[in-house]
Amino acid sequence: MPSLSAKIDGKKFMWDKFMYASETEAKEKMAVYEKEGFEAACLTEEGEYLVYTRKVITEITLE
Amino acid sequence: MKGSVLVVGAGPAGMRASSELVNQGFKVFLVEEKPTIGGKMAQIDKMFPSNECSSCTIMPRMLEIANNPNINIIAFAEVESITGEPGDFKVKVLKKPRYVDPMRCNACTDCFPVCPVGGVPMEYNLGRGASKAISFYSPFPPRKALIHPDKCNYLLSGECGDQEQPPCVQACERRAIDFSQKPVTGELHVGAVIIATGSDELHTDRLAEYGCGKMPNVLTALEYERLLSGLGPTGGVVKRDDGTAAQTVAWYVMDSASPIGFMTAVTEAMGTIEKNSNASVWVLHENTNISRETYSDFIQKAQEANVEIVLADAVAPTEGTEGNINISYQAAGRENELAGVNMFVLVPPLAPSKSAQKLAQNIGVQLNPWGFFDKQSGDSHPIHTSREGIFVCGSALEPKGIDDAAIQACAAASHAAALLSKVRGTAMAPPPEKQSLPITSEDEPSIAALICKCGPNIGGLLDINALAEYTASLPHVNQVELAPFGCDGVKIREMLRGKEFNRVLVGGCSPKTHEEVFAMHTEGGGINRYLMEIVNLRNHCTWVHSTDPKEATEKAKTLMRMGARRVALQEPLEDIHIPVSPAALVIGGTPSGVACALKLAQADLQVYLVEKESDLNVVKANQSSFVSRLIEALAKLENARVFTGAELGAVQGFMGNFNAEIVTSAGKEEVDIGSIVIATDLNMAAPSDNGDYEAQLFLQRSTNNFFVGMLGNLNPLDFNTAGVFKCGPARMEMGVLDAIMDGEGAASRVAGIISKTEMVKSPIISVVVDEKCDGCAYCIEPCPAHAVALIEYMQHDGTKKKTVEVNDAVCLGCGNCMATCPKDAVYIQNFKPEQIMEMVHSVSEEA
Repeated sequence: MPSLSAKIDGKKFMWDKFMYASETEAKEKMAVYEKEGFEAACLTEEGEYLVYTRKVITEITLE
Repeated sequence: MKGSVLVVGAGPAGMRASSELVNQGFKVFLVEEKPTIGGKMAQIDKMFPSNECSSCTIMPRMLEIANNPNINIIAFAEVESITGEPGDFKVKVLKKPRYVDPMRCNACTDCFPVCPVGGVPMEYNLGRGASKAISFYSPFPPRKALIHPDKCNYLLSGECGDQEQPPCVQACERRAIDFSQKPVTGELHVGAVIIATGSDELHTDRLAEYGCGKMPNVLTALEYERLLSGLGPTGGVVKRDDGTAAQTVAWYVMDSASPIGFMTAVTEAMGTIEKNSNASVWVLHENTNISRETYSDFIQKAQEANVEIVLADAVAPTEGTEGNINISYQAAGRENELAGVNMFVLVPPLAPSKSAQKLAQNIGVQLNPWGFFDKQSGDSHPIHTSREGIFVCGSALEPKGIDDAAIQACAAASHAAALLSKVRGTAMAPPPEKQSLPITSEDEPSIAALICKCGPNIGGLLDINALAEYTASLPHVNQVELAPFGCDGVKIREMLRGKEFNRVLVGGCSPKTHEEVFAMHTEGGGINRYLMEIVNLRNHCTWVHSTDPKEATEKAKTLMRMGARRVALQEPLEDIHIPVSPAALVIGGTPSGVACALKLAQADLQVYLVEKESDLNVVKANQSSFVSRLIEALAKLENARVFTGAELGAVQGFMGNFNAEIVTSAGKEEVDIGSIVIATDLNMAAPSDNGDYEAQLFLQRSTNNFFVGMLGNLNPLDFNTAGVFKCGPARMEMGVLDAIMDGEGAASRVAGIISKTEMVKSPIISVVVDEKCDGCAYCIEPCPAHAVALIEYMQHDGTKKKTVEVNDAVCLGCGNCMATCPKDAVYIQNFKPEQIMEMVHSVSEEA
């Protein structure tokens, strides 16, 4: 099981919990996430492609 | 040119200058005329205006200095001469004999009880209390015994006791007693010199006129400090000459020209009430001018605590009955009297230290008519002396509070650093190679335990042998040793040498003061420094249960049991290394901002100065010839870039790695900087259309619009946001010369960060368990370092989740996030919930 989080360029990214079979498939998904305002990054592990995202929330509402 | 600096005087200013210099890459020789360091700050009980415990505050600094391989403390020594020129001075230092070899003495105190000569008045306590002819000078470093040559039988007559050797020699297993010692002169080569010889109470006939030395229970402020101090001759209980407690105490401030005496009296009066709420206290003074707001606030608090402040003149004490004093005075044109006061404390003016005149003659620098260090005529820079390359700071210049002394020490360090910038780092000892044994979390714990007697502090109360026997019976504890003062590292290294231990358990004093010292010794013994645990037997046991040795010993056993459980679960960790952007940003072209930028640039460091006016000379406070010269000098330095007509845009990042947008009419420019200085005046409000750096850097202003900084007298230039500093008009109202020193002081703080290629910080920081964190964000607000951020992320099915991110570079490891998290989703390294629960269970199991 890949790590749920990864440090990329000193920033914490979180895995979307899916293993993509190809780089193209992963990049397509990254584009979807980026459209939603997330930073996205792709890592490879044992031939599979993993997509990680993050977006800093500055407006915090405590529940 | 030499990359080392001589600092003369190891009080708060000298120690601060030393640590600033080492932090910037310069080796320091710290010469102190007394046998121990700390100066007056170590002798007093509390400091104004913060009311912090003075010895608690300075002790960690002393240990840091005493254990720094690049600070060579030469105590009990005097500077005989300085020849040469700036960058290359030769210094002759006379070392006085202790008659004890400091390299051999391990402070075991075995020689004290066998010495037949007692009743020696303790100089450190100003004659109060008594010691043997061999004793410690003070409780502070370097903690080595000292023989008083004018009291020692052997030194006076060549004989002591009925044996061939004197009793102290026989008692000393380490053969440290050396009656053959003579004064020795050595030579040092340094590039610059900083004088920080402090001040002394001015003892003149006026003291006797007010009864000091003539009437019982009339004493000086410094003598009274020793009675208030928990480390003083009465253990912090204010006792009169006959041993009875004082209920009524009056102070008379003899010098109204400086606020220092008045503030000293108010602090002592407040300390008296804190120790005895039934005490009545009065401070008599003659119209002392207190303009500083922090001082006024402190005085108000003291008055609210029932310190009565009386504007009085014609103060005249007379001897009363039963050791009391009757004090008559005039107030508001009327005759008044305080009848039957138990103690009368005189606060004399402060004068240059007694050694200043001799030092000035020895090294060829001038003194002013009052005996303080002076400068060449025409030179108005406060920290210059009459000799180039020799700087002065602290109370050697004039009486001042500890916060001001700290700033001047930083400023003096920045002058020395600018002078020696080309040889920065050349004299520093390389860091010791770490040779840690390959220990993993999976290895079966094998604990070496050391119980430190801390002299009488622990060993004098606890049944130390019973505690050692009990500790040896604890799981995984394979050896237990006792040490008189474990912090010297001798015993701990002996234990670890060649043995297969993988954990260290220390029963000793507070980790607040000694964790770094014991971690260093643990590392020296080949074990990862984070596999060591200190059990605070002193503060948590012997000090608070001093009247019940039996119960204190039982509690000590419980604490050792808890410590053993915790350390068994400790994991080896590595320090965090963070690269640093080697440049600084100074905001505000005020005299402070200009002085700060200039000192950084002169120290060969890159600096960006941002000013919203179109020209630095337009800034109103800069319109003095002194500041004009600084502006001209700054303009000539290529590594200083001045942005006028500029504002700041977005500022982000953390210590060592900030990024800022500078906005001018030509557009935006981004700069990477390691540190930021705020030197703005009150009119320079931060929010603009381009950004709000105050909010982005989490800076706060007080109700009077000055910036609020870190608490504590020793950090007047620091913000709580690490890597950001304030100076001059951003801090408080001040004159141009003080503002320049503030800026130069801030330059030293900044240079301590950006002169290095990387920062090294503790890995005791928080770790997020992502599987458990649901991004509730409860941990964000309580974080004092603003190290926690909320992040959102995507799941493949299109749902969004949240978690938190911890900035390792700024996390303090305080544990607030861990305490706040409702999901157990965050913990501090080596403070895992299972470790804490093990400790808790170990208490209840025994119960």
